[in-house]
Amino acid sequence: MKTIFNDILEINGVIGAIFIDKNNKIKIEGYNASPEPNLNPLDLAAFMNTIGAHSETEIHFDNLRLYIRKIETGHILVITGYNVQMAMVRLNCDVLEPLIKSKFGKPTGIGRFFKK
Amino acid sequence: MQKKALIVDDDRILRHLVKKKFKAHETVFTTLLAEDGEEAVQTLKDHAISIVVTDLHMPKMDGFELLAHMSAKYPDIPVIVLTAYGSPKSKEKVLATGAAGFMEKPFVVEDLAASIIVSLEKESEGGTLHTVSIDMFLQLIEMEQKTCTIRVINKETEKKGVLFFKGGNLLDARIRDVNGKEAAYEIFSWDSPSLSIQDTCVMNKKVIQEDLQAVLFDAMRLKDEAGEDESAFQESPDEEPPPAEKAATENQAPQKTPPQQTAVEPVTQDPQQKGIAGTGPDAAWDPLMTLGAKLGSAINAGNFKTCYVDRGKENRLVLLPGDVTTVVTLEKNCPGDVILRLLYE
Repeated sequence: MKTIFNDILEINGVIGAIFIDKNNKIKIEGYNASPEPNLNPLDLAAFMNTIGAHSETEIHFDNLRLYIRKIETGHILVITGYNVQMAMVRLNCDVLEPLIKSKFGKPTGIGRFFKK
Repeated sequence: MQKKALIVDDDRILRHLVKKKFKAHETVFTTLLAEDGEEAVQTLKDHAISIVVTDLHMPKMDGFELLAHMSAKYPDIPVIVLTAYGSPKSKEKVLATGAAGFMEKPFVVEDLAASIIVSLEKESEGGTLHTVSIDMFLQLIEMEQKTCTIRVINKETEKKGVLFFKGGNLLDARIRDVNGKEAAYEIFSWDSPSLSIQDTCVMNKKVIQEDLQAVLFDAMRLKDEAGEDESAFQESPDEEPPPAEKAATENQAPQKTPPQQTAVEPVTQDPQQKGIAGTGPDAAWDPLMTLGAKLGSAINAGNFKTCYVDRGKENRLVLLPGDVTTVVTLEKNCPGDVILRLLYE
């Protein structure tokens, strides 16, 4: 599953990427840094509820940035440093959206009658 | 835009004969004349020259001095040297000073025209793009770490500028005899220019110390502040050139009219307010700030500084932490540099 984030994690300055589904559960995560951040699921769920329907949110901290993109199937969170090409991060999120949708989106048409 | 070739020779008959013969190539380039190095230096300031053809032995400022001046100030402009004293030693010396070609007198004018056309074609060997977004294209050059010389033409004013990239780094920019950031700011302000790409870069010295992003942002800011007034792209006159550039300036021949630099016009409109629809406290955003700060500490991100929210069709917001969250509502067409200033300052 981590391979889906390989391209975004290769961008200089990107520390980690997480996909959170509509139920605020982490479905995929990948990090360049070790040790990997330990996100409290309850805090994360509460935070995602406050983000709501905003299409893009970017939080600036002293040392890092957190970019959150709303997609049809949930949210993509990207943790970055300050020396990063945000245009590339956005572009990669655009590319990731259909990939994530194909893995986690509800099947439509006749597909919905079959288990994956 | 037609390219210009400058012929420098003290022999009046030869100059005019060459100009007359070159009329057959007017669809490719036009010809300008100068009778010595000094006049050539002035012509280079006044016109966007694409190639120089020069004699070596001339009064006032000879061909060697002109070559030295060209390699210091206009390294991208190819120079073809004409001489009646074509010893192998002088040829070697001339090519070592940066000349692109060497031709012995007497010569066939059509051969010279062919050499000029070959040199001019190199200007766009990597392709030509019309009506492009210059900032997007240059960011691609940076990402691809390309080494190239990009000639930019402002189609509205027919002004021509040159950008030098090595390994994706912006080394220098030039518009006629103005170079460095000042030239870059002006080039970056041109709307939908045409670009010609040459796959080589003769520059080695990094005159522009800042990275491309920083120069692009500054250019955007200056453009926003100055509107259409191009004079605001000039920097303050007391800015010292880098030492290497200063040395090159000192070594060059005395010039009759040194480039005059003008100070930046004072900005009448407060740029902080431009693009901002309103500012005020709004406690409704406090939970996002509190939970965001909590999340930040979990990933060792440090203190919460600012938050940018894109709400799709509604106005975008910048949130600033405090006892009560301050919400800055951005106008739909808020310039990028205003958002960046809010986020980073």
